[in-house]
Amino acid sequence: MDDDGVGAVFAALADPTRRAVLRAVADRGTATATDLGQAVGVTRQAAAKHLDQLAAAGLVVDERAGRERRWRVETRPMADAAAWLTTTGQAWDTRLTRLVEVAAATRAEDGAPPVP
Amino acid sequence: METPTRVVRSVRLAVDRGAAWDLVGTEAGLARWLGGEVRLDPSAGASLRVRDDDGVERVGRVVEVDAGRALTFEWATADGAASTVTLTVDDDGDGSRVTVVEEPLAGGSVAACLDAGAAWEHRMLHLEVGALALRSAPAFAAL
Repeated sequence: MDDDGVGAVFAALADPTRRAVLRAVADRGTATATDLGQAVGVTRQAAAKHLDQLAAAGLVVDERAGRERRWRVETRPMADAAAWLTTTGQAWDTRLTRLVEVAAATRAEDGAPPVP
Repeated sequence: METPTRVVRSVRLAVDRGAAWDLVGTEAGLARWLGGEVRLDPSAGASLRVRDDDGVERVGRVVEVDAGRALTFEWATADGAASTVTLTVDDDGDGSRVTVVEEPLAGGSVAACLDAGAAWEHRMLHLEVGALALRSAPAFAAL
């Protein structure tokens, strides 16, 4: 999954009902849109719409079981999103450490006393 | 469980807000710390190019400048990883505080960063996701 996908994951999860649907899928292992609608208090149609959006972000996949369409969680996109948060945070830690050092040097160049 | 969908970092600088803005809101200042090679004219719509010390290069465009206080830009790596970055400078006692927020763009790409044109600001996303467990599948139970 590329980082476009990470953005799609975060966008999909921006909606609280969609997060509730995802949580309900995870709790059940597999579930139908009807199950999930009842679980989160929305219509089957609304649940199906949320599932489609979660699927577009790669967060759930569907499987046919006879006449039923059952959904399950796909964990890889979540792991990729978590990895993005980690690597991006580390990069900013490095950059901001440099910024602090540069600011301290600037202060010294201006003749101000060093900050403890 | 509260889990962020954006990266937020904040540091205190031992210089006043004006000096901090010189480091955050000018190309010469940014070149001293943002990366190994920085081309970033901090004016809205200007293109930018930043090469990190590890060689990773990002290109993008400045979205908005609030002179003396905030700089927002979008950038993307060559493989299409696009995100929005906002650097904000505030007073903090006799010093200053710089805060950075970076969040990924849904569907963002290098092409989008370079060609967004008039639609640029409309593509900015401000995602506030309340609760999300990212570490592993069992953690979904904590959503």
